[in-house]
Amino acid sequence: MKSDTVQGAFWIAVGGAIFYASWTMDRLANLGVKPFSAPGLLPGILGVFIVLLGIAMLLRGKRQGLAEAIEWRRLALPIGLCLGFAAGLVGRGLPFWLAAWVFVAVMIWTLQFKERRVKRELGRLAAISLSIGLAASAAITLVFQEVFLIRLP
Amino acid sequence: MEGLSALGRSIGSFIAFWPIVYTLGATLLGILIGCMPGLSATLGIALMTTLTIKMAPNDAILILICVYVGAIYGGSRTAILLNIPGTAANAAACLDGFALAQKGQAGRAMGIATTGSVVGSLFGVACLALFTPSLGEIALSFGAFEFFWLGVFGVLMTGSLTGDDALKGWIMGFVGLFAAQVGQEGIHAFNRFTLGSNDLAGGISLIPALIGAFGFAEILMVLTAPQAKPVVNSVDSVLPRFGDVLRYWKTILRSGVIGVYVGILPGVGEDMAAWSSYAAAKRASPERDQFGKGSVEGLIAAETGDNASIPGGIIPALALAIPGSAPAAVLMAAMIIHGVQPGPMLMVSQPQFVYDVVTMTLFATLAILFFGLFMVRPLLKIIMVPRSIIMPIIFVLCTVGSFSIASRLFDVWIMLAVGLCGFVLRKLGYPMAPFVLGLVLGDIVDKSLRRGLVLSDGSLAPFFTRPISAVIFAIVLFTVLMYVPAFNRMMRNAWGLIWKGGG
Repeated sequence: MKSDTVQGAFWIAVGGAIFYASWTMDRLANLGVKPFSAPGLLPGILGVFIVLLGIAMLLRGKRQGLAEAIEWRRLALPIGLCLGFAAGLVGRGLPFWLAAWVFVAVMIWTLQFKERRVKRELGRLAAISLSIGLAASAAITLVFQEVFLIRLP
Repeated sequence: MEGLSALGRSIGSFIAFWPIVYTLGATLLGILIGCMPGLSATLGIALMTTLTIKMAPNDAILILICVYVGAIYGGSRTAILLNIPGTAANAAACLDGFALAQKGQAGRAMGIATTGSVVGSLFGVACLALFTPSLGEIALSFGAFEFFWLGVFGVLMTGSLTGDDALKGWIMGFVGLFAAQVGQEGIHAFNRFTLGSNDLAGGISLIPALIGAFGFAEILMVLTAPQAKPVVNSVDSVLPRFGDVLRYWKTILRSGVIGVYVGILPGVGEDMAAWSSYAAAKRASPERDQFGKGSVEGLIAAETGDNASIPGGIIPALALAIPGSAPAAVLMAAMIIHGVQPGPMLMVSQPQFVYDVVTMTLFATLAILFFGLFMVRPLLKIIMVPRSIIMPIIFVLCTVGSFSIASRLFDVWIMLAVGLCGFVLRKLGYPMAPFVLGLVLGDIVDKSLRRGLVLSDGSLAPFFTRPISAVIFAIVLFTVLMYVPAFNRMMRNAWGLIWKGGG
């Protein structure tokens, strides 16, 4: 199936959903608000335009095939680590410096693992990952929390 | 005269120890951000907004402007040495900068880039000082109708000119406008699209969304791209040659004018300014066959254009509250966070602030001249740091940056969600700049539309009949129609006939 066709259909669905939600939104008539000042006015118009642009994309139907270019398998681990750190570790009671240290070290290890394994440098990689992770987390914690007085998660 | 004395007061107040330290430190940081492919000026300003949130407004905004100017300049380093633009604005500089580096003239190329950047910025600073007060005065006569069309114009222009596909750009612009509608609206305090969530009632915060779109999404983009190695490890003299500057003074002046003009256009950023200046220089040059093969004129045009557009982009942000580019949008958001309300009333309520911004941009320009001449070799080392080390640290900064604006974890989730969606959309060819402009302008477009309709008692006529409104609407309509093949053909034929008739 052509990439534009799928994307056009997706935007028609998104625009349609926005329009429906805007149309059924409270128009505050009981408060004496006039229809042209209703909260759903602009979102409804935007929904219509997104539908129209989706239709234009659907009709154009260019084959672009870029969707296949995303290397999900290669990215799965880095994305998982990022989500695990930001949504799982941070703000769950673990001190920020420790969470950041663990994340940076594991991420560097993951990203350099293949290259270093070939060179038989896994021990060195472990040392580099841990030391850079510690330095980065200490620097970020110090600069944000102590120098600029910003609260960390 | 009054303007000159206000400018003098600003310069006087910034010549002090701490402002100079902030200028040098922030410009250097900006250059480093610009040097690293994957880190954009927009992300740099967004992250620094969070770091400087507790500082005095003038100090914080000075730092942000220095990061902005530094990042756009710093991107030319990787363009010259790696053939990879550090920021999108430096893509045009790759063509001739990299060709010069391959000829063993990397130092000369960097000297030319420094000269072009400094002269372009200075030209833009002069325009910023001259035009912002006048534009602010004109904007005092603008009403809801004009602001509605200006907002729509900004989103459509960004959609048309960023990326390769206007249709996708417009979709992103409208999605950005929609995202700005989520949360409590500003006229009747009604919760829209919040699905009963208290967090969503606060709306989608701009800075976390920007960090997601330009930080997390960019990290994933960089991780999927192959890493380039610098072609040169040593450079010749980076001192700018005055002969180059004098020889191409017309190109410098033309590129400065184009850069400022493109910068002022709502939503059209530094990258378009660089390409437009480059194309104009190529058309006018007797050495046009050298363009792309190491032309000094081409490199000077690109770098003058992109740096001149920085102050150009700040002009409408200050005078109209309609930012000229994505980084200017973040800068404007930061000004609002620090209690400055950009817009037509700025020249009435805080006239000195406009001259403070002029002085800040001037200081940043002098700092890039300093670092451009004296910090070349240390900066070369920065671009050698593997991205597998830089990217995890940047992600930690993205997380901290998203959290620290309002100290709520919900903003971190916004960053993650926008980042993941942004990554997929960018891979599918959707540009992010229109989304950002939409997110920034959504509130003004919504309020202006409904206020305008209330003022006209539901009549749409003033949107099309008030003189300035009618002109902006005509431009919006023309921009959209030019993408309809039949209309485009008709206009081209008509244009051809006019030219033939004239000739």
